[in-house]
Amino acid sequence: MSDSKQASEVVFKDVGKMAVFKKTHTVILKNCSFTVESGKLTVLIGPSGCGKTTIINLIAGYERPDIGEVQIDGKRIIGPNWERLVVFQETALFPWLTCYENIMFGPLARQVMSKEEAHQETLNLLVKVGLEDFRDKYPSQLSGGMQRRAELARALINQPKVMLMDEPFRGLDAMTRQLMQEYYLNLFEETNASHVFVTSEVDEAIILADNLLVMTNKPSKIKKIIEIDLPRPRNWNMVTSKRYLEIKAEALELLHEEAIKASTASGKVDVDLSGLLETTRAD
Amino acid sequence: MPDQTASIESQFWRQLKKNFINWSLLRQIMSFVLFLGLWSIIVVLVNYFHQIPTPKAVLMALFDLPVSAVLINILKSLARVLAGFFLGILIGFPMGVAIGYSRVAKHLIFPAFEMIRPIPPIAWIPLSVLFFVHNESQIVFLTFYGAFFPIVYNTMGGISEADIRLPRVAMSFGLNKRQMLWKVILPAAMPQIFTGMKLAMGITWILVVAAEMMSNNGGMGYYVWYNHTVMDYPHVVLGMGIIGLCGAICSVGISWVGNYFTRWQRIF
Amino acid sequence: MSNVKEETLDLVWKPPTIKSKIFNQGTILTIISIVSLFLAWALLVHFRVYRFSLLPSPAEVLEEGIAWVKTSVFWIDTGATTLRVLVGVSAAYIIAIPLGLMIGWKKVFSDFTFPILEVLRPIPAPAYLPLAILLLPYQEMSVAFIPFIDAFFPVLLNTITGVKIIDRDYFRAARCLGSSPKQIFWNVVLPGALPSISSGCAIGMGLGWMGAVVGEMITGKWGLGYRIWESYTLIRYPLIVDGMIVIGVLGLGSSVLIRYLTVRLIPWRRAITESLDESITQ
Repeated sequence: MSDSKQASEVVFKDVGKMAVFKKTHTVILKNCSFTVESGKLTVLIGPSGCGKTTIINLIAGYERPDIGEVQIDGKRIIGPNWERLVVFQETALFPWLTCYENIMFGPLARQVMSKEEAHQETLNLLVKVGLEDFRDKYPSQLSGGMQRRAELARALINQPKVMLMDEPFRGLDAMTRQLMQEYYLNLFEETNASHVFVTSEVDEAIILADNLLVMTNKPSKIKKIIEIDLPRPRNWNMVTSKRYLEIKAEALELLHEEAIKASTASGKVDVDLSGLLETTRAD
Repeated sequence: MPDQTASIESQFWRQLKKNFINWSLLRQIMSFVLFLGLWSIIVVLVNYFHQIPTPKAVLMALFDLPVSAVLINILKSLARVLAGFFLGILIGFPMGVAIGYSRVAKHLIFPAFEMIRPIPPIAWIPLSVLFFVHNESQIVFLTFYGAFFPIVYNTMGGISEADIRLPRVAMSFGLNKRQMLWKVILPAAMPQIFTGMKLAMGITWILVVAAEMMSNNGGMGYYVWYNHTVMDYPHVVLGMGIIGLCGAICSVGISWVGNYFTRWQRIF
Repeated sequence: MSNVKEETLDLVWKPPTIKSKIFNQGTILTIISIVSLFLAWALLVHFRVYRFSLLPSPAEVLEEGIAWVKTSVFWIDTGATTLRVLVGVSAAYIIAIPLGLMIGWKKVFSDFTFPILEVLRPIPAPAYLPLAILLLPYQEMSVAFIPFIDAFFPVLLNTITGVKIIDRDYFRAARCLGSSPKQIFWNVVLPGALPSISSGCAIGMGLGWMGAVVGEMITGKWGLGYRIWESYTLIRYPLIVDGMIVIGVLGLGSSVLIRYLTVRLIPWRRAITESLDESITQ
């Protein structure tokens, strides 16, 4: 069932995006350009409020850029589509449908599968994400981790070309989070899609990513692209490897720079953090 | 050693008392008993209240109730309530959906509604009497009007306040606007829609009773007022109780239906 | 490859002007909506469509209305109704709010009082009128009982809900800091429930107005409700609509007033709603 042409490339060309309030506006993205390579797991990491969700919305087609273009395989993105599906931070499963019905929703709505096919595929996916015993439960009856898995299944059954994950594991406890990361890596390595994953956890970002895009503050653009050349399939031993620690140090440094800029600009923190960091490093 | 066994025993009784007897339920039952008792005492002792019937008098009145007449009154009131209520749903629900879903419809219809809404339903009685020939239609118009606004406003609220990510997900799956309404927006708005229906039901009962008190065309409101004019207060109180019971049953009915449609909300 | 469009982005957004606020699609449709309401009314009466011939026209309503406002009867009626509403609704506030706070806070208290209230709640307010007439000395004041009942239960229920949704952590924090029950009541229970209480009060005020009119139509000699009914019997139909409008305006005004007053009691909530005003307009 895998299509060799499945994975897609998403390109941001000089994108600018504003958020408009009643009397003022904020520029969120400015001159934002990058490429999501096809078939790779691209992770976006950056300070909070820097527009990571906006980027997800732009790729998904829920919003359009004010300036510039977002393209998928060379064509401009003009609206939402099964090719680009989102897994949200807080569950967006349809609360009035059971797990099973939620997962079946996509293919049936798009009318690309018959009911029997959809049924079979849904069962397969339920097994794959480990929810086969919970298929008739409503989302409100599932725990946080289970809900995320169900959402993953709901998206994956449509075999999208781009999977967009907006801090999906946020709010989960550390153990569940680790399990979810494993699940997710397995799923990623099985499918052919390009993935865009947004997170604010550096460890999560590095263990998952092929490309790590570090963002600046508002108005945001990509500060640096770090290529994570850790071998796939990933495993937890890599966390203590030398290469991992190098990457982590680099990423933390970049994020720290932006965090200082943000805090002094908005006047929130009046502490000279650079000195603090140097003294802690010396310990 | 003896001290320890003594404390173990009292522990045992304490646990028994806590688990065997539902103190909360007991207190609630006691509250009714107390209420009836206080009622009887105050009415008998305080001269000012001497005209108010005792609970016993009300109970006696229950026994010499003209059953068939009362039943007919109940049915009349019920019919008026349900007629207005379902008319309110029939007309109010589509309007609420239109206002919630389409911005154009909202700006076109909503301002006119906002101007009319402050006028209490009761104030429409004279115009209703002028406009409608039959007393029944006059009353049904009133109940319809009372049910209309809560239904429209809560439907509209439920639809426009639905989680925006759900329709977005549906758009990604390729639903057109019509499918989106039926498959996504309405199910999401169900809880609020049923809140509106419960409110509407409460208001319709208030209106029916008031309207019946003012006309002399049967119904429980008329029954209560009539007994008031002939100073038969036990029957007045009985009538109040019956009306309350009918209203409660209707509300519970809507709750049941609502709970069925929103059974996904409860965390089991 | 990057075009220097940095400056243009800030130029793309235009601040809202007064002109743009007035002449946008929403305002125009709103005006159309209100105007067509009056237009439809006037036309239906004018062309004697069905039984609309019996109803007064907007012109008549306006004319009679202006004459009415100049009479002393108008002010007496308005005053009487307003008084009944104020008395009834204030009584409801004074009794229901403390009661609701206690019911929401202490289960024992709730067990003793709530069941009775739940049994009484479905009984529609007008049904209380005969008993009210018995209980209260003056017939005119007994009419105030209906607004009281109409306002009582919404305020009570909203207050109870207001207490129940207070985050339990606030109670725990207060106990950690060594508060007595009295302090907990004044510093946690009451302020925490204030937002719900305020919306309950606004609802109660609206229902109180409805209740006063109900009472006046059924019985009594003064008041806007009574005047409306009398206008009907005396075949002075335009006055009916005038009365309705006055009731509507006063009812709406009093609801808004209550909401405004209670919001001023809750400065922390104002901060929340002000920051919500910055939400994105789409």
